[in-house]
Amino acid sequence: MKGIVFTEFMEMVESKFDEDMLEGIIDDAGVSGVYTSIGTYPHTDMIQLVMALSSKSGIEIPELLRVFGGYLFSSFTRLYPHFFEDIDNSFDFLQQVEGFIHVQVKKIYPNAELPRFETKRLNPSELQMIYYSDRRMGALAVGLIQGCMEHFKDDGEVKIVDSSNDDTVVTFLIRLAK
Amino acid sequence: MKEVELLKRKLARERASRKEAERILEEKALELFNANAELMAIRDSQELELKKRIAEIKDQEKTYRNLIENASDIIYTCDVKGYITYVNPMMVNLFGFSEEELIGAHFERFVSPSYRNRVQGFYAFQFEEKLQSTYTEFPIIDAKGNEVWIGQTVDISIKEEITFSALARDISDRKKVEKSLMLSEEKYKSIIENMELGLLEVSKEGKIIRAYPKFLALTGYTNEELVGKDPVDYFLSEEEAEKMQQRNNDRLNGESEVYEVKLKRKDGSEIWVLISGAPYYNERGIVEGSVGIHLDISRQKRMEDELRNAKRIAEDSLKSKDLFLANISHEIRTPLNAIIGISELMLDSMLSKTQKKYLETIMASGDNLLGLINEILDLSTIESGKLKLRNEPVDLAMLMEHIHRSFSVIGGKKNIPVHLNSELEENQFHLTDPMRLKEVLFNLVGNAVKFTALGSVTIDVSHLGSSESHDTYLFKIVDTGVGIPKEELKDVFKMFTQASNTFAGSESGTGLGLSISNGIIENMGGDLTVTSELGKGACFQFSLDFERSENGNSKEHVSAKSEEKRSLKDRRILVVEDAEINRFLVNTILNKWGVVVKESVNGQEAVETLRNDSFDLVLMDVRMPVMDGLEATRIIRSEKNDVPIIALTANAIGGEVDKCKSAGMNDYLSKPYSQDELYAVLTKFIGPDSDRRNSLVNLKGIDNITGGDMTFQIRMISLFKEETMLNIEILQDAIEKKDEASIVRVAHTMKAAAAHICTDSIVELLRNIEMDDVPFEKRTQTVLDLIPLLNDLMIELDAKFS
Repeated sequence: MKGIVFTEFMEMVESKFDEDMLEGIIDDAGVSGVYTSIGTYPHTDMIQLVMALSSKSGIEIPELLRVFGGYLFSSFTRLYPHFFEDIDNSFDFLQQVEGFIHVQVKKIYPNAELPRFETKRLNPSELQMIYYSDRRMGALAVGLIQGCMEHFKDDGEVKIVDSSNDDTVVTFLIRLAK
Repeated sequence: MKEVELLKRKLARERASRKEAERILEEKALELFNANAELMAIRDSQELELKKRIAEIKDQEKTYRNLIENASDIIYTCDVKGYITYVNPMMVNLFGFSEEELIGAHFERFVSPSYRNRVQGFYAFQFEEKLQSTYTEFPIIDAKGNEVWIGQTVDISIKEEITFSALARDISDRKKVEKSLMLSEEKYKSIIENMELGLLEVSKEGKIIRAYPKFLALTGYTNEELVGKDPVDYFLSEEEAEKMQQRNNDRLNGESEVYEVKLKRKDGSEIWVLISGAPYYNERGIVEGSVGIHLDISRQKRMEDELRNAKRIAEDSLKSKDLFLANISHEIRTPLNAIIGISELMLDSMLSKTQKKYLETIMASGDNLLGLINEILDLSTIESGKLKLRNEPVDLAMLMEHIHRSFSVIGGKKNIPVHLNSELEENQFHLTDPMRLKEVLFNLVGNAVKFTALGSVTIDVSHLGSSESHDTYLFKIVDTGVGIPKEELKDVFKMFTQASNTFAGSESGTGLGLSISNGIIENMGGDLTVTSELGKGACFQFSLDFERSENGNSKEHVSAKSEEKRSLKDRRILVVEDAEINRFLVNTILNKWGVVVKESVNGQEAVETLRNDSFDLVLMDVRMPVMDGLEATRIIRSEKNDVPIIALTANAIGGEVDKCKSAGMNDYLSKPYSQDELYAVLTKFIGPDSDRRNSLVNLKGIDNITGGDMTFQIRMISLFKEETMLNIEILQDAIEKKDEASIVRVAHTMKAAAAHICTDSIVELLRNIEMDDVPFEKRTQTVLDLIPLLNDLMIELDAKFS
């Protein structure tokens, strides 16, 4: 998992809770807590951190991931503004995640293990998006998508309409408000 | 946690992160350096490769340039607008202009003016359509003003700029040959045209390519009206078109031929033409179309039609003569039949001497008349070439002996001895027609005796020679009679000529005898000649070749004696004849012989009678109203009835006998016939030697109820046989016990099945048995008659349905 996810996660914990909480979950999770955005780290570290935060804060893991997703997306807009040039709506952006952004990420980090997305525009106001990943972080994806809609000021909702037993395949339906 | 502690931890983490980041960057820098080094190495080797390639290309270019400079073909290039940018030395040579004059000039400048537009259009098209490569031929004008034909291939190359590269060759020689070929072709065509032959060129697809003036004159069209059209639509009727189609196909397969066709002209009139069609080929030997040469033969056709008509009329008139003869002979023979027949019958009755003499005269006159008719018919047969000679083994020595004996008697009465000197050996057989040969000899010897008043007649047969299979004999009939005047000799074989009637005395003839004899001998492959001097007698002679035959199968006619005639007793004969007098005649004769006769007055009636009754033989007149004998015979045969049928025909002229045989008749009797002739033909089929039996089985009836189903037939027959066998026992038993009731009952039961399976003869007997008011003895007798018939029936059924 890319280091940026970790650094952003820690930043989020610091800002949404406090430094105590951050130190606490680092201890509880049994991880080093040393991450740099250009490195790559085991995703199990992230799971440990999230679980620790959940038990400490009493917030459920999916909700945590979702909130983190929103936070992470706004970080992306700040850190990688060139991905957002010439795009003015969330559907266009989401539809090029797989074909453009992930391709660019792979160029810089050939070893990166990224989730895969399939998108299908059902009608002008509905987009179907299918998430494939062994990491099972569909909830994080929901947060990212919501963050994306927020960024483009698109009003609407994201629903999980289907998911496989082990949650490695999750189908989202993103519907814009009329 | 304390503030300080928190900060410490955070700092430591940040430091660790920095170190981590520095390490990663260090790694990345190294990777980058390595990648860069690799790239530089690649660039160096590529540069080297590039230099090598450029050198190679330069080499190649040099080679190509050499090739181009020394090529025997013209090579030049033009820019997109057609201005020449390069020429090879060959072009300079051929065009006669210097390189400087050529380069920069527009290529069209050199094209022969009359072709400029076409060539320009051609390349404009190539350019527009971006055709990679084209070929065309046109003449250019060289520096000396001469026309030079070139064949040119042009490739377009579209790189930074569009260029045309042209490869051309001097084809003037070929063009010259083509032109002279075309001229000679035109020359031949004009020659043919001058010969009043119309030429028409037709494409492979059957469309007119060109019609030549004579053809146009022939059909009345103009060339413009015909080109591109299908000649079938314009010139041919439907039937002719069909014939033509086949021929066109043949022609495209490379066959040439000549045939006659009827053409429609533009004005609708018709002409006959003789067409000689031949395919023509392109330079690769593939059929391109065909050329038809048309010769007007309407005049010949008209003459041909007229001739054909004339021939038909002539043949018709000949046919009508034949028909007339046939009819006349029929009309005369029928009453003659009655006259002779009834005279013969009357001679058997009680008559006074005078009556008998009158009657004999009537009979003799009738016979004479019959002889005359027969001779006329013979002659007509010979003249029409329809004489058919039989070929059967004959003992010629016996035949001559017979003739000699016959005329010895006649000659004896006149005191004219008849001698026979023969080199023929007895019991040697040769193939010939004995009747016809006898006819000739009877005639010649008869004449000799007739016209000799004093002296003798000599028949001389000498052996002239032999081959492997044949013997040649010379027959000479020499008399010492009146002879024939020299001037009449040449006419003796002509019809109705008779020498010197004065000497014929009471003897007379038809005057046809010699003509007939001559005709027969000619037909046999001989030549009848005569030598004579008035007062010194005459000598008729002919020689014939006979094929030897190993086995002589003497078919001498056996004269029937009256006691033998009883062998026909109880035979059943159906007489089919429309003339009442003839029915009466034959009925009387047959009754005399004990034959059971039934009569039908036409074919229709005969067919019906035969369906319900069975006969041993049928005497069938050929010409009858309602249904003739031929038709009736065909129907009878088609119904699986094989009863012998003898044709009675008064029409002995050629063809009728064959018609009878092919209709299914077994033999024929020519009317009028004598009792002996009738008897002979009857005994041939149902006489004592005949093994033919009267069938008891009603095949038709069986077919009717079984619908022809063989399995069913066999089952039914076997059932019928079982029952009949049982019934025979019961009948025999009943007779012994004088049990009349059983007899009647059994007969009644049997009758129903018998009606389908047996012929009327059995059914009739059964009916007689069961009739009321019949004395017991009569019934018993009928049963006794019936039982052997039933046994025969069993045997016949076994034979036919096993």
